[in-house]
Amino acid sequence: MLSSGTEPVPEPAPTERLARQLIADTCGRPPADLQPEHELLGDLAIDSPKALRLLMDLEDQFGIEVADEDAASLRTVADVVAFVQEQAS
Amino acid sequence: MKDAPLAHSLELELFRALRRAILARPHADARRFGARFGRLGHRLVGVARRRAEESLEQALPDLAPRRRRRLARASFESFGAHLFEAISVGRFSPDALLDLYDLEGWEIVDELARTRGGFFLHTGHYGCFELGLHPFGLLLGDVHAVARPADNPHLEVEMRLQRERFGARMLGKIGAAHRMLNLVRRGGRVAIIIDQHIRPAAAVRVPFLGRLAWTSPVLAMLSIRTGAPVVHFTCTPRPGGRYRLAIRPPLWPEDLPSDRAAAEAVLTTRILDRVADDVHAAPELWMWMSRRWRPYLRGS
Repeated sequence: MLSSGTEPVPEPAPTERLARQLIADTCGRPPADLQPEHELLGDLAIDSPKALRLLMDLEDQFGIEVADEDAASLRTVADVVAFVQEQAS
Repeated sequence: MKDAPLAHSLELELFRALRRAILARPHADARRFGARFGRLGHRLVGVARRRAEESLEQALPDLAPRRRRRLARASFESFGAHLFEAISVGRFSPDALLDLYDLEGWEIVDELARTRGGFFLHTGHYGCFELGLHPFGLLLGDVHAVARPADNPHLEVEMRLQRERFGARMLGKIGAAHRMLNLVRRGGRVAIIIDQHIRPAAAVRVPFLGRLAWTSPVLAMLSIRTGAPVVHFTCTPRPGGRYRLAIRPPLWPEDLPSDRAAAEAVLTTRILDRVADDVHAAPELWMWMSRRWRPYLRGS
């Protein structure tokens, strides 16, 4: 069936919602403003120490420990969401 | 080298020539020649000289202008001497280098390494700060240090080799904070300096030498997160090309406000207070030529 264009956007899963909220808190923007392709450093100005704060918050909220190589691979909002979803599954 | 801009190649050749000249003389001469180099810089680089005098006026306003000018010149001499000595020690074997240090308070790091494992090392841009790292790298092992990479990539390679010759491993600043966290979690030691200005967007504004200064909160964040203490040390020159490495009792992330940001600001202030103690003891050994106290910049 074709989309009518008026269907409500599906609610993100709780894991994704929380990850987006943490990113939003870190960069000081509303979660709705965040696009998956937004770069943490380039678009959202999340550099050290904000990046450190975000990683520590992710660890606390999802009960994980972020390895160096994982931290280095998190470049966009979509990367963070995919990472926490993978950790949660 | 083929793709390097000409200025980078020239800079590298100058550095290599300087190193050859320093290594051709006894180590004990490096300090004297380096101090002369610093004096020349003080005379020729007016911007840095005025900046040093301005910083001294901001931090030590009670000093007579003449005394401040002398201190500014002495600071250039100290920095020049330190640069030359940092290059000069490349001639030594690890054992011969260790013989040059008088260690004070080493039992503090021994005890921490034995009972706790990971902790943070901190010093100011004070005295022979680069040389202070070597005994930790040689005697403790598993020591990393954070340093801003040189703009010239070829010079960066040379400087990294120089710094890593005695055991410590360097971390570039980009992405370093989280690596520091994991290194200390695994029982490693990480050295960092936080007494210079950073962008307000990434900083906390805390008192340093009586004035508010934008400062990186990263060390406090990491210490609070890991529970690992900050061990402050100074490395200062002694006659005959020798050094005194003095280690202060650890600063634990304890008795802090419950609010996270306030706790980080308080711990950052305590860390900077250690540097302030050093500066008051011998102000000429601090690097006054950086613009440490800057106002809030609109839009930052």
